[in-house]
Amino acid sequence: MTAETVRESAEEYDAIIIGSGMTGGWAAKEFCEKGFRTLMIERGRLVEHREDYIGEGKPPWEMPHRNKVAKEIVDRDYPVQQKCYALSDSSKHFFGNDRDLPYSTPDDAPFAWIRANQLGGKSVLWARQSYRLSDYDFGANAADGHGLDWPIRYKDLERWYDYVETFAGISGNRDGLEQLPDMQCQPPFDMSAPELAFKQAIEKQYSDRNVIIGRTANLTKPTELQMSLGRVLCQARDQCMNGCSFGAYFSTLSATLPAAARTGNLHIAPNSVVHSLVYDEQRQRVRGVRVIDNEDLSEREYTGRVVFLCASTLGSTQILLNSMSKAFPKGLANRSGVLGHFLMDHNYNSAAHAKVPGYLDTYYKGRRPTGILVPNFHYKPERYAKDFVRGYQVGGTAYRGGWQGKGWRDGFGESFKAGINQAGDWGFSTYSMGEMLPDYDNQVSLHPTLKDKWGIPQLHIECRWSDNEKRMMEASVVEQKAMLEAAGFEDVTARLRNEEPGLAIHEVGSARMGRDPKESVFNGWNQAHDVPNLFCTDGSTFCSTATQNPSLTFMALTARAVDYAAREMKEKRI
Amino acid sequence: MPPTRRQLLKGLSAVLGTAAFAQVAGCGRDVDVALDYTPGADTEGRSGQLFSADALRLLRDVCAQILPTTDTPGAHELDVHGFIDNQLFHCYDAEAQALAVQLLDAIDAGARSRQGAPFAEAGHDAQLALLTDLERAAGGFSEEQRQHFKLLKNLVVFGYLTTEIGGTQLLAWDPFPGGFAGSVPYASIGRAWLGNVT
Repeated sequence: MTAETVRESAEEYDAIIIGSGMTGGWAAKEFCEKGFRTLMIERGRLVEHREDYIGEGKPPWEMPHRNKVAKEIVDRDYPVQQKCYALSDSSKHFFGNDRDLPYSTPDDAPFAWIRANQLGGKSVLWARQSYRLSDYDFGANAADGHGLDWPIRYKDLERWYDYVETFAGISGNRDGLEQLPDMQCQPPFDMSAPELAFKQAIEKQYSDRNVIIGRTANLTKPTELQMSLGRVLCQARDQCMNGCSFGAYFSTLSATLPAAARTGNLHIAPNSVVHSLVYDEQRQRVRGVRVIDNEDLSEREYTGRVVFLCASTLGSTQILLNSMSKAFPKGLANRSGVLGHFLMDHNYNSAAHAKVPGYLDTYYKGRRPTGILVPNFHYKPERYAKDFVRGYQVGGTAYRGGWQGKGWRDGFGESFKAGINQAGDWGFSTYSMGEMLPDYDNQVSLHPTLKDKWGIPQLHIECRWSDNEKRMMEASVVEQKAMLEAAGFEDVTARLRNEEPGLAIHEVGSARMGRDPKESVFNGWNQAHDVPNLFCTDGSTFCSTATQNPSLTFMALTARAVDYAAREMKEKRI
Repeated sequence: MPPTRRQLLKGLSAVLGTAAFAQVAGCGRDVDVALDYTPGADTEGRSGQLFSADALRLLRDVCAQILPTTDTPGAHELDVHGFIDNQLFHCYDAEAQALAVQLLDAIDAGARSRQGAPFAEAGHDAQLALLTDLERAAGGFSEEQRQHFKLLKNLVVFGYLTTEIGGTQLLAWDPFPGGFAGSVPYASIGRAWLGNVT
């Protein structure tokens, strides 16, 4: 990495980016490539691509507890983070330490806030599923009256989707579905034989459903540009969250940061916990950013012409709420009063499983970093189910049973041992990913008294699933079971889960965008209505969740917003 | 569906229920102690972190009965008993630890009541007969003990197949597959993949 790191800096930057994750990396790359002097502020430590992937590629025998995290460490450091599927002994150093990151919730409404506070943020840990939103998604709030209409439509983002997909590298098919627009894709991963059978059965028996291979940000045919950044073909190890020295999955560290750094325009301020934004009452602009040193707790300030908040949905919202001034006593850019409200996540609370008969002469080779997907089939009001609005998508995978659990078999000695290394029956697992409606009462606020170790007021998070989401999950249980049975699979079981919001790690909505400054914080360019040189391009600006994984849309919104801001700066409007 | 390790752990908790046990010695020890264990070292003759020297010796015999030496080493030769002692101590709660200790005590008590001698001195056939009874909840062993034994047995299999020999000689291990093929003949692999262990 050739970016220079700074601590104290008197420079007035053209652009200050707060956060280095999915959106911060994109904002930095776009500004730097346009020739702007850019400062990226990261609250945590630096992470060097490759060098700091300390858990990468380690087989279980090289891990002290065969990749299980010691209970003492889980209990002490990760009581919340351990709820995330991606936390293991080989990835845990990329998760926040819960001891340092307190927040509160009502007793009856837990919320899991998953953190990744170091260079690269959650882009290092993400599940890489990448989908466009469609016009059905951007129009959903207006169509059924739940929530505020998005101020943008698909046509506004289409070319930015093209742009970020081409750079990031997404594998997938062109499936030709109106609810899930086709993308700029590299070749798709294979389906296994039972998955192909599932696809055939579902598409034959359900006129409204499709089964596609999951689109994932893993390189299957790297471009010249990607290779020039040191990124090569995905090896199908499926250990992405440990970091990948092949640079085969998209992250800030593998892709946007090296692109930004090689321009020579990037400075990085690590270990800089943003306390608040500094507002210039006279100029009615943000002047800079006040930070607390992560380690020695000293204060310093950075100044810049524009500020991009890319600190994650809750992180950016917390910063805005804590940026109080005479002009903005309820938090910066919050004349509308909606800042902190309408927090959403995706709902994964239903799952199913089946045994797949046959295919015993067939296996797979490699560990595929994606699954199959049944895109939302309730994507427009005329397709809504009777007792809930919006819809869900169903993800899944077929797998062949292996050695884990062979201890349930009876027997001892040579004959028992002879069987433990043979593959077992095929199984098929599915889960749902449901849309959550925007609700004013799902909100975050600054705790009136509690602060963290940097002296920043803690967030109080109140977020509950609504009856609509619960009914949707009940229906999804029935549908998943029916689809597995329709495919001829056996021993089908389906169940509701009871996971709190937050665990999808798709939190969005708490500083929403809109056309009217009276009911939204940002406009359709991710620009604050009330503060023209302040932008936010992470999930906090979303007006609805749709059913798709949000990161690709974060990327497209960020690239588009930088393009807009750069033009506005050149025109001297900001 | 074969249980994942997470489910196994959950299953263990469910089996254990809410029975209250006194703190097992050493539970509050510092995290750094986790690194004491050296995979591959034979802990025979030493006491473990959780198990006494006698219990560890007994567990070694149990490992040998489940996965004996064939053309590949037996579980006891790969110190799977030492792995289990370490894993239970660092990754499981006090109730699970206490139940494991009790299970080994019950195996030894069973041998003493049958043979009048400790399990370790019972001889191969008598050991096998006793463990077979335990696995069938017969010969004085309860259904609950049978379930606890199954969990222990899963730890034996897990501990064995996640050693380098287990993972590479018995299972198929492919650190850099280079890509994904959705359908290949099973015969071309011939064994289960080790896969990612989480």
